[in-house]
Amino acid sequence: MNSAYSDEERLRDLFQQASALGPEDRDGFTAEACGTNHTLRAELDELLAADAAALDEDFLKHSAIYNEAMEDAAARFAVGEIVGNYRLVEVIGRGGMGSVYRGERTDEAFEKCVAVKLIDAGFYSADLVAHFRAERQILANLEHPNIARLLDGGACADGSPYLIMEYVEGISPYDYCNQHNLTIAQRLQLFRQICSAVHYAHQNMVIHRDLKPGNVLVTAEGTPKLLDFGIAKVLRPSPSRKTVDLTQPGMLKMTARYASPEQIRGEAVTTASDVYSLGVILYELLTGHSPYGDADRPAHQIMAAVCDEEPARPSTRTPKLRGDLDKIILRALQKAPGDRYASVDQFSEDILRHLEGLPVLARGDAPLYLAAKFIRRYRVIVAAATLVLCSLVVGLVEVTLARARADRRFNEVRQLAHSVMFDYADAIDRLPGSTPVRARLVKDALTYLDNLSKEADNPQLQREIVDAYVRVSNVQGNEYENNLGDPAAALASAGKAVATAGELLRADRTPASLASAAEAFATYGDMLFSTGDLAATDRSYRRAIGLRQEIASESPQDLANNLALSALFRRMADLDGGFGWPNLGKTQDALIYDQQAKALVDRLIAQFPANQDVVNESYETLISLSTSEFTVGRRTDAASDLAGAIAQIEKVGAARPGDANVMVELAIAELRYGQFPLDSKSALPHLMRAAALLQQLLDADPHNAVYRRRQTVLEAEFGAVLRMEGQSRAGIAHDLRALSLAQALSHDAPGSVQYRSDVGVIEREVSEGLLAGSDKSGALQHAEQAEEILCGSKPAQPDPFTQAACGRAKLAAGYAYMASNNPGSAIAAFRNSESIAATLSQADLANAIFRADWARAEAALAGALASNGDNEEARTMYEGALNRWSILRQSQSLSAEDAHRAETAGQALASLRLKR
Amino acid sequence: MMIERHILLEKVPASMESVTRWLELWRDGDAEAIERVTALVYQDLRRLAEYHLKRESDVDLLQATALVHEVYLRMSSLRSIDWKGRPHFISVVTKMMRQILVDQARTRKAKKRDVGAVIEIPLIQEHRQLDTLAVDQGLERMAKHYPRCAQIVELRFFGDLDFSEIADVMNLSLATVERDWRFARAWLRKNMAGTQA
Repeated sequence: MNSAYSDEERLRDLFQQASALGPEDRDGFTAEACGTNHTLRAELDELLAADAAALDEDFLKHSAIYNEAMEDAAARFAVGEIVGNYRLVEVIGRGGMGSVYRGERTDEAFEKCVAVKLIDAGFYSADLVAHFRAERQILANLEHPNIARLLDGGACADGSPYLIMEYVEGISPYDYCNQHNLTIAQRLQLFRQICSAVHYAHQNMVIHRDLKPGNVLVTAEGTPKLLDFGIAKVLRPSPSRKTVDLTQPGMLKMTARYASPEQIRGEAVTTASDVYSLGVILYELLTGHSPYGDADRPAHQIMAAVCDEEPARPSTRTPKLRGDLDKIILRALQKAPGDRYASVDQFSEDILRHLEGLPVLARGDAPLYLAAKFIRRYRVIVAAATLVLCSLVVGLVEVTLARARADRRFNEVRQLAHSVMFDYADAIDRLPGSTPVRARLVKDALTYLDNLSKEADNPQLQREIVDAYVRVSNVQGNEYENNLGDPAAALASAGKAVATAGELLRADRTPASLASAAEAFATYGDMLFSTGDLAATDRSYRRAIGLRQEIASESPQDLANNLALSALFRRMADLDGGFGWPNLGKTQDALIYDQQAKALVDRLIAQFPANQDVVNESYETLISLSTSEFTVGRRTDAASDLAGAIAQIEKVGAARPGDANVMVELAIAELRYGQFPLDSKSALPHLMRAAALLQQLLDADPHNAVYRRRQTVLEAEFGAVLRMEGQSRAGIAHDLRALSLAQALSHDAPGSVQYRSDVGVIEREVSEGLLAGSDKSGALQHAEQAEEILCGSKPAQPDPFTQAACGRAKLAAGYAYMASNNPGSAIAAFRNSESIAATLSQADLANAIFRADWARAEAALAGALASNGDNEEARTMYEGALNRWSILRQSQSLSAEDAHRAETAGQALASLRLKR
Repeated sequence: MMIERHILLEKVPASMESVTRWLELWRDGDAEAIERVTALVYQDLRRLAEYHLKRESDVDLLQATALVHEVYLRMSSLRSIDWKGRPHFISVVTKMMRQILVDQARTRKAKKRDVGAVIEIPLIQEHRQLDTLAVDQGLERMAKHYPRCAQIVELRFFGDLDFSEIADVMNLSLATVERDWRFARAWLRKNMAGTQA
């Protein structure tokens, strides 16, 4: 026997000999070579088979670097899968963090192509998802013929977002120019279309940040389309360091050749950065070369060149560009953002001026040049014009002097007004009993502002006016703050703030102006919300978030901005879903916004544990989060987050005794805690504490609408809890008190949808209370009142909360009919109620409250049907209800009351089955 | 394509004597010496990694840079190695790349598992990519029986060298490298986990 070593060597030698032969000769060779050594023969045959397979499969064809790169790119989704309503047909592109697929609609006969963008698994993080979502709306609003439209967006099964974009078929602008042999003038016209898209986006507060020919496609008709508008900003964490750090993804993701020096250095990115990138694109379109030489240079060399090297004059590549175009391109490519064109529009216009033979701005103020160009065009008129110019200059000097004197006086007055409105108003805000004083202040302020805004012509002044309108609007009717209960006037003031903000942003996009505008949009959203226009609220909040994120992307450490952003996330959560107010019924989205706010605030708390504003935002966030958690059925989490909030507020309260805001926060938290009972017993002490706090606040400030509304909710809650405890008589007294409070509030502020809906909800609770006390006719009367308010005179598309409230009113009416021996009407009411609840629950599956409503309606309908002898349908309904309650039980979201209802329904179903 | 494939070797031999000298200086405690070597190697490795990525996506600098950056960082763990000139240097760099790529594959696999638990839709893959981890393990086994073949695969698969480069580094004839490669490929195809039909 040979040693193991030589066996192996022999196997290799035989393989190498055999594989060199043609297939037809191999069998003979191996048979002869191996002789009786069957093991060797078998191994050799297997190796030869493996060799053939390896050839077939391209086994080991690519290196590991290649494989890893491909694996990463294909990491998550693949062709054939369905995302939203689209089937992924093929991969059309891969970016750093995601892939783009061509998709087709699954639900339509005709073929409609779209581009589907997905985040790759490896990059999927809550942070990224949050950015993606927040920007989606901004992108959806970008409608421009040269921008690929965002058509739709949503979330995959795992919650990661996707975007559906217009599918553009085309080629790169560079290829297009060459294939069609475009002249310089034609290339410039094509380029100007790209500029118009970028300028439009800038007007909509979106900076592209990653402009490069790869992001532009030119269609067969010659229309350039920008892809990925704003996505760059969504996907890329903003650079927070001042130096280039190769490990930082944000830096490396961009394509160095088209990045501006400030981007490479990790400094603030502005619209001027896009001007720069456009300059590089134009340079390449006209010369066929990169401004920094060989495009294949290693990235770090290109980066260094972008920061330090002066680009070669375009005319050194293409002599025809000498003159204006050299200047225009180099102006866009200035290293310092301030030295470039002030806007993309100006850049584009300068190209137009060149095309039309007018003097271009890029020449600067060189008088000789201007004069030469001018005289060439208007030889005849020049002489006359010179004369006019002289007299104009004299006039201008005089005006300027007068203006300076007026300005000084004006500024003094303005400063005084400013301190009255802001400093004093802020101080008064913290004093209990300040409402009447604030009303006076508002009236004076408005008169002053309306006059001032007519003359506002500089950003500083415009900002002040925006801020002042916002302040006034809040005092008039922001339901989030102390207010005068005048939502219509508040909406009008917020509208003025937004209008002024729009003008301001056109002229100035500094962080201060962005912040003022964001506040205006946030406040406008608040006011729209309280007047019931939820869709408009959504738009306004998103606009505010977009502005805040624009600031955050440039100054991620701006504390005030981060706090405002967190507050906006909470408002979006309130709008998307929640408990006890009109909302869009997007419970899961609400939870995500709250979690987003929590994540942001946790980061801030870690940095600034003692900062009072951060602490305030922290407990506000906990309260909001607990509401979302409660709505999706996470009751235990809700209770513990609320307890955390209460502990934080108490700590603040100890440091600031008598501060009305802290007291009201504590009352709200305690009230919520009472509303999210794990059982009714644990709710009562919290409700009582809230009642004591609210009473104290109202004693000092009896007209305050926020306190009044809280008190209304509190009384209603007392009624509900006492009824649960079996004290129906005591309960009804609280219900009736709540009703009269709600009616008074609605009467004082007739524009508020919220207050009116409160009345309806409480009417229904009164009906339930009366029925528990066996007052059948009273119960029916109040239930019908509730129905009229909540189901009648409804807007075209009532929001889910109002619909749910209507469904509950019908349920209460049904119970009252049943008690009055009117099963026919009861069945009709229950059916209505069941169908409303079913629709709502199916549209918002995460919502535990809607599911519980549905189960109750089904069980009620089943009971009525059974008593009417319709056992078949009754069984189906009971089964549905029990199924839903069991789902709630599984997610620990079943309330004690519903557990009891489920038990009763189970027994009823069992006896129905016996009857069959 | 061949031009880019040669990048790794083209520059290093030209300055090989000085590279070796720097490495010796560095081993003997001259901290600046390593910076000069790595600056040289860094650019070349980076081009190599970028090249592969460039062919597929637009330009994804992240992965290319991350990879090379890793190599750069790991250089610092090599101080005690006794440098024997160019072949040794190339094989050390290749081993580093192997380690990095295997780590990366492992991380990606772990991430995939995490996400996979959430996504309910089964993944349909067009064609299966070769599993870097499986090659790594297969090579380890091969090295026990056929160390020369295993080194050839390592240089080609993890080091991204072509046959003539490998022949150069290992001081073998081109024909031997090609013959051994074919055997090694068949052996791996037969013995590697997950490749049996």
